[in-house]
Amino acid sequence: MTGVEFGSLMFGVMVVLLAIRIPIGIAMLGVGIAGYVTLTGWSPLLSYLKSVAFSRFSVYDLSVIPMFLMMGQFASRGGLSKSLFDAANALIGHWRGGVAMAAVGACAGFGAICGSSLATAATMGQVALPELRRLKYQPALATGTLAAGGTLGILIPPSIVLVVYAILAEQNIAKLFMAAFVPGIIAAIGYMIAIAIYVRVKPGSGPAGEHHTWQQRIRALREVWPVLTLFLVVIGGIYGGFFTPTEAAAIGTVGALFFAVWLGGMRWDGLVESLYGTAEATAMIFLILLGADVLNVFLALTQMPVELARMVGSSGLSPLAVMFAILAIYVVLGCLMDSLSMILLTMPIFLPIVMGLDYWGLNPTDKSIWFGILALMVVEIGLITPPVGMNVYIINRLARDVPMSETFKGVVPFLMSDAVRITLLVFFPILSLWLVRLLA
Amino acid sequence: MSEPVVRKREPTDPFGRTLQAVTKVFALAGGLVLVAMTVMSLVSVVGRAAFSKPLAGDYELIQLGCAIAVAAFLPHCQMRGGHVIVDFFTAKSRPEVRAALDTLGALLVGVAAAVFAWRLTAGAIGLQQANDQSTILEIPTWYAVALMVPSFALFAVAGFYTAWEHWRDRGNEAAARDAQ
Repeated sequence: MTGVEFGSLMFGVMVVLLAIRIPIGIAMLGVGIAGYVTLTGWSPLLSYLKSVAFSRFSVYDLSVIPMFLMMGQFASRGGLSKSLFDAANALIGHWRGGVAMAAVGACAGFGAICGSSLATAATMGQVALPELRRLKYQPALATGTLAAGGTLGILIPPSIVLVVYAILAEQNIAKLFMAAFVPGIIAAIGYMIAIAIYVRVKPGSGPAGEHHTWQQRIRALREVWPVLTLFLVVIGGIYGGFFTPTEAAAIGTVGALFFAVWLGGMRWDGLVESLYGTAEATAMIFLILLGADVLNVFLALTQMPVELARMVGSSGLSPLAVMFAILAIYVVLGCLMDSLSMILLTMPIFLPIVMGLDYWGLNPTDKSIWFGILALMVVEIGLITPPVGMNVYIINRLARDVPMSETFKGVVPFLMSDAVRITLLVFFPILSLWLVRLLA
Repeated sequence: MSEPVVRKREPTDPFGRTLQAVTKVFALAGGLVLVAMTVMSLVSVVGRAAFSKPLAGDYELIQLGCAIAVAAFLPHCQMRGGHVIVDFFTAKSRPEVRAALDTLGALLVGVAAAVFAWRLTAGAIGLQQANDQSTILEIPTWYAVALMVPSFALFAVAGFYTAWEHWRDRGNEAAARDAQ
C-alpha cells in the first residue's frame, strides 16, 4: 500500500469514528496514533507521546486562545453588550427594520472584543430579543438576525479560528487579524442590507422603533466607552504592533475583568462561573488541537497531503473551480461539525493544494492570508445552517416559542448576503489584503 | 464556535459528586493561573512601555502557565460533556444505541488520558534527568510537565466515570433530556 492509500484509508477510518459519536479530538488522536505506530513502530511513538502534550499546550501563540475566551466571558457578564445595543438602537432604531440592524451593529461591536460566535449570539440575544419582541418584529426575522449576527463574533477579529489557522499556515496572527477586519465590516453591512431588503419585501415584518433625540443619542454613545477602550487597546495594539496578540489578549482580559467588576457588578460567584466557562471552552479546543497535532504528524509521514496537492496541481483543473469546490466542502462539513474541527481536519490537506495553484498572481504569504479569510467566512456558515447550526440553537433557547424551523427560515436572507460576500472576497483579494498592506 | 451547547445533568451518586467537586477545583485553579498570567503579562507590557523594562521571562512563564492551566481544564470539560462529537449520523438512532456509543467514546477518552498521564510522567522524568530548563528564568521544565500529570490522571478518571454514567443511564436518555 502506498503512503497516499494508507493515509486515505486511515482518514476514512476516522470519518467512521466521528460518525459513531467518538469525541472529535479523541478520534483524531486515535487514528493518528494507530497510523504512526504502523509507520514507525512503538518506540518512536512512545517517545513522541512523552513530549507532544506539553509542546502543544505550551505554544506561546496558542495561549491567546484561553485569554480571548476569558475576555469574552468577562465581557459577556460585564453588561457591555447592553450599552452597545442601546447606542446602536438610539442611532438607527427608528428606521424600518432598524432595531434588527442595530442588533447586527451591536453584534459587530461585541465581536470586536470577543472571539466567539456563540458568546456573541447568546449575549446579544439576551439584550436585543426583548426589544425586538416588544416592537412585534416577525419572529423569524428577530431570531434569524441574532443567530446570523452572532457569527460576527468570529468574523470580526479577534477570532479564535484565525489564531488556529495562523498557526497551521505558519502566518502572522496580527496580519490575519488585519486581513479579517474589512471583510468583517462588509459582513455587518451586508447583514444590514439583507434586513433592509427583507422588511421591504415583507411589509410589517420589521416595524420602526422610537425616534431618539440627539441628546439621547449622545448619552447612549457615551456609555459605549468601555467597549471602545477595550477595542482600541486590543485590536489597536495588535494592528499598531505595540504588543503581541497574546499580550493584547492579556491586557484585554484584565480590562474586561475590571469593567465587569466595576460596571457589571461581577463578584466572586460571577468570576468563578466565568472561569468554569473559560475552562470548558478552552479544554474543548485544546483536546482537538492535541488530536489534530498527532493526526497531522501521521498524515505528513504518509506524504498524502503533498501528493494530493501535486495531483490537483497537475490535473489541469482551473484554480477557481478548485477553490469553489473547497468552499463547498466547508459548507457541507459545516452541517456536521464545529468550525475549529473543520479547519484542523482539512487544512493540512487543503492548504498545500491552494498554495500549489495560482490565484491572481498572489505571492505565497498573501495567498495564505486570503485563503484563511475565505475559509473563516465559509466555516462560520455552518453555525447558522441546519442541522447543527449552533447559533440557531442558542437563540432558540432564548426564544422558546419560535420554532427552530422558523429561525432557519429567518436566516436565509443572511445566507444570501454571505454568498455574495464570499464571492466578492474570492474575486477581489484586495478586500482582505488592503489593510494588511496599509499597516504592515 | 467553541462553547458546548448540550449540558448534562449533575451527577447524583456520591462518587460522581466528589469527582465533580475535584474537577471543579482543578478548573478553578487552572483559571486562576490563567488570570495570574494575564496580570503578569500586563505588568510586563507596562514595564516595557513606561520604563523599557519588561519582566524577565514573561514569554516562558506564559508558556508554562498555559500548559498547566489547559491541562487542568480537561477533566471539568469531560464531566460537563463538553468535548464535542458529531451527532448528525446518530441523532435519529435509538437512545440505547447512542448511550452505548457514548459509553465507548468516554472509555476511549479515559484510555487516551491514562496513556498521556503515563507518557507525561516518563517525559517529566526524562526532562529532570536531562536538566532541561527554560531559557531565561532557568525554571526546570519538568515542573510544568509534572504538574500536568495529575490533570491527565483526573481526566482519565472522569472519562471512565462518564463512560459508566452513560452505560447506567442507557434507555433513560429521554428523561435526561427533559431534565435539562
